[in-house]
Amino acid sequence: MKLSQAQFENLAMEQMDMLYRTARRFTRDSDRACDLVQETYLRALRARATFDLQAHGIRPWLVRIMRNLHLSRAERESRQPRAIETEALDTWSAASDGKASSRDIFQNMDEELVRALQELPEDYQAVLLLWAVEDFSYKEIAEAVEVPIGTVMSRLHRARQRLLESLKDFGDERRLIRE
Amino acid sequence: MESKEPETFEDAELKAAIRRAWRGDSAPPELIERIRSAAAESGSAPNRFVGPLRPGGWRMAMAIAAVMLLGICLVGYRMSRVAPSAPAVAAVLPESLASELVATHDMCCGAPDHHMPGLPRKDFDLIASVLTRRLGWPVLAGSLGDDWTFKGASICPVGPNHSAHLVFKHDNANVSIFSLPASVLSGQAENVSYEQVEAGHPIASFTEHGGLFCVVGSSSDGSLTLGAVSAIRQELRPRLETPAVSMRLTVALQ
Repeated sequence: MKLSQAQFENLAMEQMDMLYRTARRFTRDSDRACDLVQETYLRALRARATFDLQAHGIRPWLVRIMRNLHLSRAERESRQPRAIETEALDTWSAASDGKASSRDIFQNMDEELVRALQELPEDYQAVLLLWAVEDFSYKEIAEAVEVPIGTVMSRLHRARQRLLESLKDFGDERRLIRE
Repeated sequence: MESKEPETFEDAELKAAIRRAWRGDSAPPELIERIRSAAAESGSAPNRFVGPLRPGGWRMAMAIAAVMLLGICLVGYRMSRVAPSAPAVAAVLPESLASELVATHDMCCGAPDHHMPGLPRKDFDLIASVLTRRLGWPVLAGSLGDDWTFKGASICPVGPNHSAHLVFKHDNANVSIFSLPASVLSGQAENVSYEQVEAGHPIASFTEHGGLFCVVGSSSDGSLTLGAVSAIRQELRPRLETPAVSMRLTVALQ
């Protein structure tokens, strides 16, 4: 389904906050995030003719443009991409094997969680954001970051494991204090 | 490894916690305004003047009309001053233009911050892209290396014209990079290089892709020579050939 100019712009502009949040995860810097969002919109407006609402949906399409822009910039700046796909799933086991659960860990630990989230690789952050805050479906996330759905699941699981690992010590301390 | 992953992932506690952590981020108002302006201006491309102009589109139309009028007036002015038999390709820029470049260079180098509000500061490709879109002709922008401090980019007057203008500083030396439409030169030609010293300022210029690009230098001890600014010009010139610039040129020509 092809959209008119006005329809396309209205649809795209509604996603400004979502794109900014995603850009913050990619860049970890508000100024760079603003630049990235602006360039994403410029690219999207130029590429409007190639957009097909039925095939993609506007949100994964916009995030994909942003991610590709971000990767191009990162490559230009000679930063090495993170090899997250090869990471072993069992780098952390204590939290999931132990008694601590998501309910124990994640409730009432927002400050610690923000810090732990910021320490995650940017691709993990992006997937978590799209899943938790933006309510993307798994398929939409997969289209946005251009990976199979199975990889989306992997990243979600690994991100949760890393968060639990980061927060585990803090949780243990809290339980000791209570006891 | 991937095949061992579960097919679904649900964790309501984690989802709620992440929402609390990140939901508050929203696009800054100035960013929203910048993008809305860019979207409005992008609507003025020729193939999109199908319906009535949307709010904001008139600005680009006025700018294009003004640039065309300015170009016609300037060409007429130059033709009235240059003999018909004058060569189309010259080794030096017209003295009046060189003086105007020097005047703008000296004025802008004294400013504490030369950067135009709202313009990206860290990404030269993006700076060039935004200024190209704003001005309608190609803009040259790039780093001069770690020794030089980037003082900012802006749109500045050069005599009766406007130019993209980047300023760099290094110890007691300053360098300007100007991007003007090649139409400011009479008998404009592509791929012509110019070199001269005007009022103690070395100037190295060239024309390409319909643009006139000038590197102007100054230094209190005269250490910045014509050779040095020519070397800067040579180093920056390939940036006009990058894919990003080709894309900008396509946009500018729309």
